[in-house]
Amino acid sequence: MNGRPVLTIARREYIARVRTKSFVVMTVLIPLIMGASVAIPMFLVKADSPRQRVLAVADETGLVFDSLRSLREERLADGRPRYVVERVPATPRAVSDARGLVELEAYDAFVFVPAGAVDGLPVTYYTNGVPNSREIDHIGAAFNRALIAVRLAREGLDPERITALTRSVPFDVVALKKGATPKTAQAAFAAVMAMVILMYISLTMYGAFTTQSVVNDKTSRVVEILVSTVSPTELMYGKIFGTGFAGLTQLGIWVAVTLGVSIGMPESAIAKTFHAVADVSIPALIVFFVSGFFLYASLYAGVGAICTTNEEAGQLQLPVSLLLMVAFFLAMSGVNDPGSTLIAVLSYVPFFAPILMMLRFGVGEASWFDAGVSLVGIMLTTAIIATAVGRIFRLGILMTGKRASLTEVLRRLRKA
Amino acid sequence: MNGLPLVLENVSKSFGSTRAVDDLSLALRTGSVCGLLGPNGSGKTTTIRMIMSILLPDSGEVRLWGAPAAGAVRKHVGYLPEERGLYATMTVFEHLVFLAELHDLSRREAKNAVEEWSERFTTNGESSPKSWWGRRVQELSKGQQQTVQLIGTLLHRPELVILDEPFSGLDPVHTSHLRTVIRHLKESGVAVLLSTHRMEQAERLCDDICLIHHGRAVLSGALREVKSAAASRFVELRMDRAPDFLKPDDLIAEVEMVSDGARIRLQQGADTQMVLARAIRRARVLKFEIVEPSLDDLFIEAVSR
Repeated sequence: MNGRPVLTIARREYIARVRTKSFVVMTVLIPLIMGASVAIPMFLVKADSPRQRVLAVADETGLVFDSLRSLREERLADGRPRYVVERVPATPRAVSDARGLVELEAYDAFVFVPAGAVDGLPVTYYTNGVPNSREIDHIGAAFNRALIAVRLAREGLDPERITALTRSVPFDVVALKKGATPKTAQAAFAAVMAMVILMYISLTMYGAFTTQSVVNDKTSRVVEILVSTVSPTELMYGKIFGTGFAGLTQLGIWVAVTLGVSIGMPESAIAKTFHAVADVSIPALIVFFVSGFFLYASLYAGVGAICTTNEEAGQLQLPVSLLLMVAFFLAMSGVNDPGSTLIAVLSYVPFFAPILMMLRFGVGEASWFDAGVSLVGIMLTTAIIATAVGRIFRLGILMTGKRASLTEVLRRLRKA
Repeated sequence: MNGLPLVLENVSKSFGSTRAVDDLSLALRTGSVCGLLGPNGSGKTTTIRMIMSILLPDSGEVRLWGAPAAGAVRKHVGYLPEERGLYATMTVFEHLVFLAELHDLSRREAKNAVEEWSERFTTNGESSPKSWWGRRVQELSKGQQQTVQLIGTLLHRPELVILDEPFSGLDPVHTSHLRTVIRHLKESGVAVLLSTHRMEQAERLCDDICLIHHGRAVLSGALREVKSAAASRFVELRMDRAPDFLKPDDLIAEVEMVSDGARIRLQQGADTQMVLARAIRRARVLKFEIVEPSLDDLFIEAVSR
């Protein structure tokens, strides 16, 4: 094999791919969609919060109303109290008036605390329209705290002291493994999952592009010129590299955008995930990403080599897509227990290795040596597949109409 | 490079039980045009694909300048496939540069070559290919696409050019221009293998021919010799009555009605005077002429044998 024709073909492939409308649209659209999916909920929460709420309370026990301190102390961004808590006399007349005022939206909500509430009778919360479950939980918790304080006081216990004694502590998780720097496991999990998902999406997409590019050479009949000057293996490598680097370019743009966002908003979830990824070792992730990319691209190119139309290729892509999907779901389930023997063994199997070894390495389960071994496996497999695909391609070029059966493909591999 | 540009030695190729090419031998000299002739499906394209190592022969050998055809020597061949194919969304210029680079030209050399060849391909009364450089291939007419592909075949100054049905789909202006290009190639010492079933074009261009049928060479050699060997087997005859009494038999192989009489092909070894004698017995002969066969005649004769 010769490097120069590979480069010529890869460059043409790259330029053709990067210039397509879909590439430009996807490159712009995906960060926009991702940005919007983060920004819109944040915006909605912000737009939702500043309103002051008027809460009417009828307290038959006479003990709860004064203990609702936590609600009264909450402040809005502009310093006004978040809740205006109004006392309503606990008479049937006043209660029914208060309910009427909720309907008229004079009160945002009305809470009726029956005399038996201290002993477990339900407290009733009246609200207009669709209840906001988060707010109900919040207010309910405040009432519960007040009621518990009443009960504790009745038993002669000091509520302040009880709170102090039953305070829970935060639970920090740190994974330690074979001389690796201790990592905040949770952050590493999130980062690795983000990488796994990104890898799955781009492999599926650019794999299909590779198949398409091989099939298009046949349908456009350019292939006859190509294989009369370069070897089929050179052609395959050119296609795989060209399409692959187009995919990496797109990812590079996305990563750059993410980096920009995380610098601009250091407190955002994006920034935190990004820092966690950086913590896991960016070079290792990139190496697995790229090698996985080329391994699957060569498989997808193989699909293109035995098909004559894009429709046919769409069907035949399924086995490869399934293989990728299995790797993806193994990683998804493996993230709960990346130390399991199953995941450990499969992380050396070339077709699963890029995703699973990335996962194990990312969470500190595998050493650099493990990563190296599985990487060599991936690269050898890629080389074998690309060569085999080149041979199949050479003999499949002039085949039109019927699809090659498996036995025919094997026969060709032996003959070529 | 030494040795004959192209030699085929007893080359055979089968697809399943079909023998596409059967024991074919061929040699092509520098500065000559050889016509690879034959009806559709006779094995011309399969032969060419074996020369370009797209297919590998089952037996026999293909050599380019004495070297095995499958090697790097292929890059010195210019190949115009029968099935034309260009990337539809590339611009003409980019595409031509790409094709040149595939043949090991550097980017600079490639650009210069594209410039030079586009000048040469300016036909009378038509815009220069240079003016469509910026257009995408899919925006060109079919004839223009053919021209682009032909330029792409010649950019790297090949010393052997293989053209598979280059005339198909060309109008008379482009056809005549292509003939000029082929003659220029020949004059500059390039060996040209021309596969076609357009006999009138082959007749005007070829020094040698190789006529194949069912994968076998049925007639081959220098065009002039092939023709003179078949001379005195074709006569034109005009009489005062219809030549309906002339039927194929042991003397006459075929009778074709032409505007003012009949064109008769004789059986191998038959004497032209016997035909005249037979005609005189039944009618008054107004014209009797022994004619030189056309390549078309030879082709039909060879194929119907």
